[in-house]
Amino acid sequence: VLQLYAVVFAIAWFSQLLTWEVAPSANVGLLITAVLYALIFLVVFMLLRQGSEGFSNLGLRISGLGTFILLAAVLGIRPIYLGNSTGGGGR
Amino acid sequence: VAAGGNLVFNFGALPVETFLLQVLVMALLVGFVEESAFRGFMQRKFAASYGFVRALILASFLFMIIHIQFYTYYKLTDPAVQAALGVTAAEVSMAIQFLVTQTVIAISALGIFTGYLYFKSNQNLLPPALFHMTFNIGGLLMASYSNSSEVAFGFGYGLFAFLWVLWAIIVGALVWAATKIGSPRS
Repeated sequence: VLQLYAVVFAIAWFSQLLTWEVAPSANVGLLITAVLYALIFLVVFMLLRQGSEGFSNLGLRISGLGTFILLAAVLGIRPIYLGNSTGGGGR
Repeated sequence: VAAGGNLVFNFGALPVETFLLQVLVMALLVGFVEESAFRGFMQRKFAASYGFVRALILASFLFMIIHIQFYTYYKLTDPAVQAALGVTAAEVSMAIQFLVTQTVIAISALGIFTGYLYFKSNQNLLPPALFHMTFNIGGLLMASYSNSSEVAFGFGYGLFAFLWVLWAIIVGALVWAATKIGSPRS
């Protein structure tokens, strides 16, 4: 746990530092954050493997209803986004 | 808020692609990864050693600490940054106090709620991850309904906080209901 927290803490700081000092634009800053968070997930994955727990212990389970709700939510975002971007002053 | 009183999400000063990238990274990816680290790994490990309540408090505290952005606050005190943002030192001071208070209260509450969801859903990571993602999307939407510096530094404090909390309560109730439906029987 301490190993993981040290990594998460360091990455959180590093992310702020890079975003302020290195990233030339907001988009690049976001991409840097994405890479750093992928790294955190890799550490979680490695620690689960190291402890012989397996990835299934992370607890990613979804029911049929949950899958339906997720799909509906994802498909629902599109018209909402279009509604905002074509009218109401969206860009 | 438009002249007629309707709330308009105009993405503020952000191009739409930046806003969508924010949603993808800051809401979806960050929400999922933080939940996998803090609930899926840390809280579960702590619970095995110290019991559920202590694990919940400890994981939520650690979760809150990483959200206090000391370096960002430090940079905001730089006069050049303040000039670029078009804000005064007094406004920055007020904004930092607001942001720290908001982090301590809102992020602790988020950690405790998602930790409890994880426990109640029989250690299923998806309900807390979904709640965390939608909580972050709410934050991004609230921040982008107007010019972001207006929200952070101007009149928007109260409205921003109110709308965000309202969003969190509504989404929390929905995820809570979905958790009860979707969790495996133990």
